[in-house]
Amino acid sequence: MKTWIYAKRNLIELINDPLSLIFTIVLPAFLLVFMVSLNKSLGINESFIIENFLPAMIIFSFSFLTLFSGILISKDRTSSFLSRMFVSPMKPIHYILGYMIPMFFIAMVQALILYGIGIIMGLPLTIHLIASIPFLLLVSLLFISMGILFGSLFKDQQVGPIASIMVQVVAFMSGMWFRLDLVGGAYETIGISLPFYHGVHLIQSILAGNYSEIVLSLLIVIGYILLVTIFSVIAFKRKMKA
Amino acid sequence: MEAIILEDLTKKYRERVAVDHLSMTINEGELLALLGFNGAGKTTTIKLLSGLATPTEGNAWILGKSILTAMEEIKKSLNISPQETAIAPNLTVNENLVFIAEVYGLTREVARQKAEDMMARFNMLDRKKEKAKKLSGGLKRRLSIAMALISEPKVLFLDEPTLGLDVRARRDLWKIILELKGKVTILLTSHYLDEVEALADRIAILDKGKLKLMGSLAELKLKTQMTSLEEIFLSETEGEVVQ
Repeated sequence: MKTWIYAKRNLIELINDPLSLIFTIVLPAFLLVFMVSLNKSLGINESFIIENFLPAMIIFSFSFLTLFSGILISKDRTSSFLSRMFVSPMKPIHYILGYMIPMFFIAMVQALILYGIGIIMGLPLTIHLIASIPFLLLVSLLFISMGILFGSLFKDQQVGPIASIMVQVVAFMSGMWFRLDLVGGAYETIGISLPFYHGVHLIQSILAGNYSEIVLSLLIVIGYILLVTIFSVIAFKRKMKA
Repeated sequence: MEAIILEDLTKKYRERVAVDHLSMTINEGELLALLGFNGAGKTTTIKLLSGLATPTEGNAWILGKSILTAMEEIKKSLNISPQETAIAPNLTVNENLVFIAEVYGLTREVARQKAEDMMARFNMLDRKKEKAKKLSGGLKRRLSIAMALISEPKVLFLDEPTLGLDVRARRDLWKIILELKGKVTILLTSHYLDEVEALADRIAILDKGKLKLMGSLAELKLKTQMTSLEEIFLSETEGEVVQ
C-alpha cells in the first residue's frame, strides 16, 4: 500500500512537469515521424526503415527516464524530502518500487504511443509486435535503475549533464542513426559492449520474428540490468544512512 | 515523565566527532532547544534520534524504546520538519498533506479530513490547490510543519524551522510552535538566540558536539551569573566550526 502511495506521488511529480512529457514522448514521436517520412521520400539509410528505427526510437525515449528519475530522486535527496520519508514508517523496498512503478507506467505509455504512430506509418500489426512489449519493459528497467543510481550518487545539478551524456551515448552507440559496423573499430567494440545496442537489436529481432537471434542480446541486457539494479539499490540504501 | 533520554550519544565521521558523548533528558510535552553554531552537532543529534544516522557509541530512548533496537516502532510516534522545506514541489498543498497522512497509515478519507483540519489550523485553506513550489518561503515552512504534525506525533523534531524567513513569517511560525507546547515533545534546533528565548522551556548549548550547558533561561543565568543568553552563549562556545 505504501509503495502505491509513494508511486502515485512520484507519478504526479513527473507528469506535472511539462518538460518531462516533451522529452519522453513528444521528441521521440517527432523524430520517428520526421526520419521515417524523410527516408521514405529520399531513401537515405536502412536504419530509418520503420522496422529498424521504431525500436531504436523507443529505447532512445527510455533514456529520458534515466534523466527524469535521476533528477527526481536527487531533488528529493537535496530538498530533504527523502529525509522526511526515511523518518516515516516506510521501508527501502517501498521507495525503490515507488520510484520504479511510475517509470514503468511511463515506459508503457511511451511504447504504446510510439507503436501506435508506427502502425499508422506502416508497421505491420503482428503477434511479434505484441510479444515485444514485455521485452521493452524489461529494457526500460535498465534505464530506470540507472536513474535511481544517478539520483542516489549525484546532486540534481550534476544528474542533468550526466544523464544528458548518457542520452547521447544511447543515440550514437545503439545503432539508432547508423549501423555500428559501418564505423567499425573501437567505436563498434564499445557499442556492442554496452547494453543499448543489444536493447535495440533485441526488439528489432523480435519484431522481425527472428527469435533465434535474441539470446545473446537478451543475456547481455539482463546482465546489465542486474548489475545496475544491484548498484542502484546499494547506493540508495547507503544514502539513507548517509 | 521523560520522553527522550540520551546516554553518551556519539557520532564520529572518520576523525571528526560530530556529537560527543551527549547525555540529557527531555520531558514529555517539553520544548527543548538545541542552541549552537553551524557544525555544533545539532542536526546530527536530530539525525541520530530520528534514525537517519547510526550512533558510533551510546544510546538514546524515545518513549521508552531504544533507537538501536526499536527504531521502526519509534518511527510511528515521531515526525520531523527538516532544515530544508522537504515538500513535494509539484503536489498541491492538499496533496502534500494527504500524501504524508497516507504514508503514516491513515485511510484516504481520514487523511483528507486531517488535511482539511491542518489547512484550517495553519491558515492555508485558501492555498489548498496551489502547487507547493509556488508558495512563499514562510508558507513552505508552514506546510512542512503541518506535514510533520498531520500524523499526530508524540515527539516532533524541528530542525532550524525559521531559517531564512523574514520577521513576519518567523513570528507566524513561533505562534504555531507555541500552541504545540505541552501537547507534543519538541526538540528544536536553532542558532537564533531570540527564537530560543521565545520558544524553549529549556535550552541546551552545544559546542563541537559537546553539551556545554543546559537548563531554563533563568537557570542558565543563575549558573553563569550573566544577564543575557547572548553573553552566556558566547562564553560557552568557541565559534563556528570549519568543516
